[in-house]
Amino acid sequence: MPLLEVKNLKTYFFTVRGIVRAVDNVSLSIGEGEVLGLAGESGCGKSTLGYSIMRLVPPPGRIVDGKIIFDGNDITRMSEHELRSKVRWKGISMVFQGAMNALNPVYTVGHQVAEPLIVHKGLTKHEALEHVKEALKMVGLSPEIVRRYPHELSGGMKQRVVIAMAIILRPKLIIADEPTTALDVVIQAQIMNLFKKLKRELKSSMIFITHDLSLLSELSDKIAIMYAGKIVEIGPSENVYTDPKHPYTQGLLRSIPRLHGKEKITWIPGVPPDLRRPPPGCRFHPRCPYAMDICKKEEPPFIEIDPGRFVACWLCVKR
Amino acid sequence: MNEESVDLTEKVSPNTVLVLKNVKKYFPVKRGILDVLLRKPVLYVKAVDGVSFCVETGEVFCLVGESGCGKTTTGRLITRLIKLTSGRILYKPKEETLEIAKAQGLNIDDRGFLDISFVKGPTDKALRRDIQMIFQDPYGSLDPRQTVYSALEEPLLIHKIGSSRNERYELVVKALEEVKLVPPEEFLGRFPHMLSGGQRQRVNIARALILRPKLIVADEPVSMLDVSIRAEILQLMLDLKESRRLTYIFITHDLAVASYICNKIAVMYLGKIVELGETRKVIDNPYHPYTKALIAAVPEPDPSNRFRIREVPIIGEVPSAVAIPSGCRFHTRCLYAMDICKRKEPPFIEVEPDHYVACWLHMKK
Amino acid sequence: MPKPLSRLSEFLYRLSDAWLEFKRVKFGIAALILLVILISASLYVLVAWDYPKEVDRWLRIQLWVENPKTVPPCWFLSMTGTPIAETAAYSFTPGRPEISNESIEGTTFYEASIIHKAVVPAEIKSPGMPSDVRIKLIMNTLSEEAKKLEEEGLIFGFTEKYSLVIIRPDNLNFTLVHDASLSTLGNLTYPDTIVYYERFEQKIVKIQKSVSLKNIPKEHLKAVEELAQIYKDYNVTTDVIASALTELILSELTPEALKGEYKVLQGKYLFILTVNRTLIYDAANPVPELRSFISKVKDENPVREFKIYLLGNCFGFLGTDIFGRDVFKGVLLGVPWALIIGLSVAFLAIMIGAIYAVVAGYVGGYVEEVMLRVVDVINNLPALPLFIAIQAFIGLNIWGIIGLMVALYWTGPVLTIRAMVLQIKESTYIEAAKSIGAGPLRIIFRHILPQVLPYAFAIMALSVPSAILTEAGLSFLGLGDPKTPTWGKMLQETRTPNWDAAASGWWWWFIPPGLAIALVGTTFILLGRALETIYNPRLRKA
Repeated sequence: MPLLEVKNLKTYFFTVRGIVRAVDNVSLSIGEGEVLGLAGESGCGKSTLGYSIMRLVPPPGRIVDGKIIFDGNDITRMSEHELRSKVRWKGISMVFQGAMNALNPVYTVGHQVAEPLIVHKGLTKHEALEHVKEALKMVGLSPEIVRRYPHELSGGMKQRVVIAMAIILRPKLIIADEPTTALDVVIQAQIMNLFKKLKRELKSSMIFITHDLSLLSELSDKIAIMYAGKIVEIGPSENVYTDPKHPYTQGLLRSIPRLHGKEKITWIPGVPPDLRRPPPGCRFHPRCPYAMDICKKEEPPFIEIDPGRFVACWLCVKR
Repeated sequence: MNEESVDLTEKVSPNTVLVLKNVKKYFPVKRGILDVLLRKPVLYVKAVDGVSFCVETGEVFCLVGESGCGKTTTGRLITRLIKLTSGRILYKPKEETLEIAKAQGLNIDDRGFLDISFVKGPTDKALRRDIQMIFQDPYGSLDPRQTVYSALEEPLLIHKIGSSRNERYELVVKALEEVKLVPPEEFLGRFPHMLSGGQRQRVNIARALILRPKLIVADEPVSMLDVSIRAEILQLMLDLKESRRLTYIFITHDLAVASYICNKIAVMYLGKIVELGETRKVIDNPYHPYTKALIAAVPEPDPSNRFRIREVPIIGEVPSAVAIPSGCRFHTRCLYAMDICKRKEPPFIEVEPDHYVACWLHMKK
Repeated sequence: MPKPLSRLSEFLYRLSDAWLEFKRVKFGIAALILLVILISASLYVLVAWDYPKEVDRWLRIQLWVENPKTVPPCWFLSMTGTPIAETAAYSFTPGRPEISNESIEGTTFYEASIIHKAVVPAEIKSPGMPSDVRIKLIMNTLSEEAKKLEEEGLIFGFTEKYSLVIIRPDNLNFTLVHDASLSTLGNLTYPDTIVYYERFEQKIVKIQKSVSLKNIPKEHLKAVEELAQIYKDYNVTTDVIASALTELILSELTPEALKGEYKVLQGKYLFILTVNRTLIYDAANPVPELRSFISKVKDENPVREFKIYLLGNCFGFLGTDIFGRDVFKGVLLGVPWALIIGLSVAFLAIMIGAIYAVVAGYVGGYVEEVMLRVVDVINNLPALPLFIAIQAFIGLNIWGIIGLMVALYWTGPVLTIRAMVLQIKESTYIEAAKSIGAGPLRIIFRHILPQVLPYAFAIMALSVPSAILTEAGLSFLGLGDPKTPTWGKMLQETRTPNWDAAASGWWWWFIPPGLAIALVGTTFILLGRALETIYNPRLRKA
């Protein structure tokens, strides 16, 4: 049984200027120890999807439909209290975008990393200290920094602290939302190496959210591509990278500049749609080089073209 | 600088448009009153610590490096948004700017270069029509209260270009057409928040170009854009370079983008250039350990990556720019650091034609 | 030129955006409605009325003499079930003179007796006890002329005597004045001259004030004795009767009336003024002056004006004050001033402060430091003591007070706005503006100030109540501008060494101005808070 199953999830934002359908009928599943890379450009809904799984969608947004089944329990039906005591941080933890800037400047590193232990497991600060030092070592930091304050650390070190906080309760699923975006490329490589190590040692599953497809290949077993609130393609990394089926995935891969590649890179013309008024039919059709008539009228079904490989595109529907 | 160093600024050709000679920019660290009373020495953030290079007309010259290496500061020095601490910036201006400079009594050297380091007065304003900047944040660089038309008209108003509203309107429309925001009328009345990231960046480019400059400093122009449209904007910039005969100083931390668009790359570390040369030469055959580390750190979209640790040949983290290491400033992170690296700064030498490096490892030549 | 390019449409777009946000704030709409009401009231008062004239009338308390004093509003009496007495004025009709002309035995002398009458038919129609009865008399007296003729020897005796009698509906008569000479009667009528403004023109008008029945000297009120006679069995002193004279004259004469339980006698009351003239003259010498004088005495009714005012026990929407002025009118007169004071102080002070802050924040360096120190000094000045001192030594008029408030309040928003400017200054678009060659003035006024103005407007709205309250406070202490009818001034008038509205329970006088101040204050606080939730940078969701 998969660790996480998202079924037909819909998260909408009810704003003054209309309803933004940020996550519109998304389904996916993650097995134990599996890393899902969630890719997409700005405004596609990937961050909202991550927040929805944690049930942390900020108002005016809320989950309007669908199910999220984590470790056998439907967390969309759980009360806040249950979520807080059973799921959040213990079952699923999160590394937020720009989290290193969200470390509390008035508390020491040790205090902040220990906090989940104190709150969830009821340990005292003294008991927690050992666990904290272990977590810090695991993320490649010297245990002495328990006494340091966030402003004394560099960007990379702060991000490691945040990761230490996320793993301290040994959750089964970690959601990382653009964890390396603000970091330099060398530090980014080191953090990715850290994630690889944690994946091996902790065997936790992960949802890695980023727009950088190259980065995702460093870690993901499965790739899901999101566009305009929907998943357009999902499948094992090998397949998606080498044989992308959806025109959007193809366009994305072709637009990545390579260090050593000689081909000219291309782009996808047009702009992503306004999620308040998405185009009819397939949402990608205005920008798709292969758009057919049916694409403009009907939304393509999300079909399994191979075991574990799903695409939402009329091109892949035979008949 | 070592006397064995190559002085890049000697390599000035008739086609050279910009020369930086040993440019330094130090920012004093703010001191509290206690420090003043205790007579503690003033600390400086040495953001740019002796940078020299030449840029040829029509070139895309990249400044590459991680955050804090000084590339952005160098860009701002060239566009004169900040003043340099020492060194000189020489620039070959347009005819009209040259006239204004001469009228102001400024010194033009015999090769046609003007020292733009401390220019004031009418020449200062004229240089705004010569050297322009494209900023990193497409949304932040536009006043949220100005429409596209207003934002594009503003430079014309400041420099009194276009004698009537109609004339200015025409110029604005043409500028929008040049950056492929068509039909222009659809965009004129829009506010920045009604535009997509790519559209905003096009407006920024249009605004930079409307004064018809010769040199454009582009500071991470595509970093904040979606991947799928980066190539579009980069291509637009290349097209404009051809049609308008522009020269770009392209600042980026993304080596892949640099390798795609730039003719020449200068790799910067802690305020100095450690390697400089033709793009292909630097990327395919890097000499400096830092360059090698940077290249090793860049991920490619290869799914087998997840089965192996990415080896990045570098130790530790970037030291503070207030306390720059002695000798070769990279030695604290270099896997191959030798004794001499800790004591003396390496000279800047040519290891290949048009490929320069500052590293003791390659001194055997 | 296509439309979306004008600055006006840019502004309108932002306005509609702001309106969308504003609508969501619950109390914003309430505030807006209140504001509309206030502005309409001001406009009405300023435009539909001749405002300067009304203010002038308000300030001239002599004009309000014939209004009931310190009476509550009529709706209040209806609510509490007290019967209402209306205010009414009644004029006289001249009666036919009674003339008799008798010769004196054995001489050519004649004694003429001419009695002129003037009758005022007043009517009490409701069971409410009037608060006062006032008499206005304007007489033509011939005693001066008579004196002259006497000196010339043309006449030999002339008297003018006056009587005033009330005939009640139950036909009881009470004599108010009996056979009084003019000098005595002089107490009842006295002229006054006032200057009037009508549509910006000065008019000088003579008016005669009326006299309250309560102010007629006891010695002349035979009615007191008459009443004492009626109540002789009740062992009551004339003082008691004299103090309740008006009420007794107007009510049924029951024993309860002596204790203060009056039952008003409804019906027609006749006030009869009799002028009894006697003249002795020599018929043998019919000189023309004599003849004309005699015909004057006979034919001219000496009463030029004789009016009776029955003052009601209630008045208008909000009753009256000690001078009889309509409190509701007073409150309305104050509305424009409240708005003018509040808005002009708020606007000027915050605008100055905002521009100052933007310049300081942008320029930076030593200049900014100095500018901030100036702000520190002014900020720390104790405003109210300073106001009091200045007003006590130099009494400034209302515009001076406004100016003073601006001079002390402009520093309020400076620190916050400067902080905003410091942040805006670092924005990339400011850098971009510099890189295209914009100078500091353009950047300040075209890029920075418009960002800061919405927040400044919110602060303006929040400053309005302070300004109004400061002025009200000053006026209340007697240090305001005495010529402007502000609510603070009204409140000040409720308390003097001679009277205290609160102590006397004249709630309709002191509550409305205070309530009005609170209402205007509330309106602007709500408005300001609504604006602040949208524009305060700290509350912004970015």
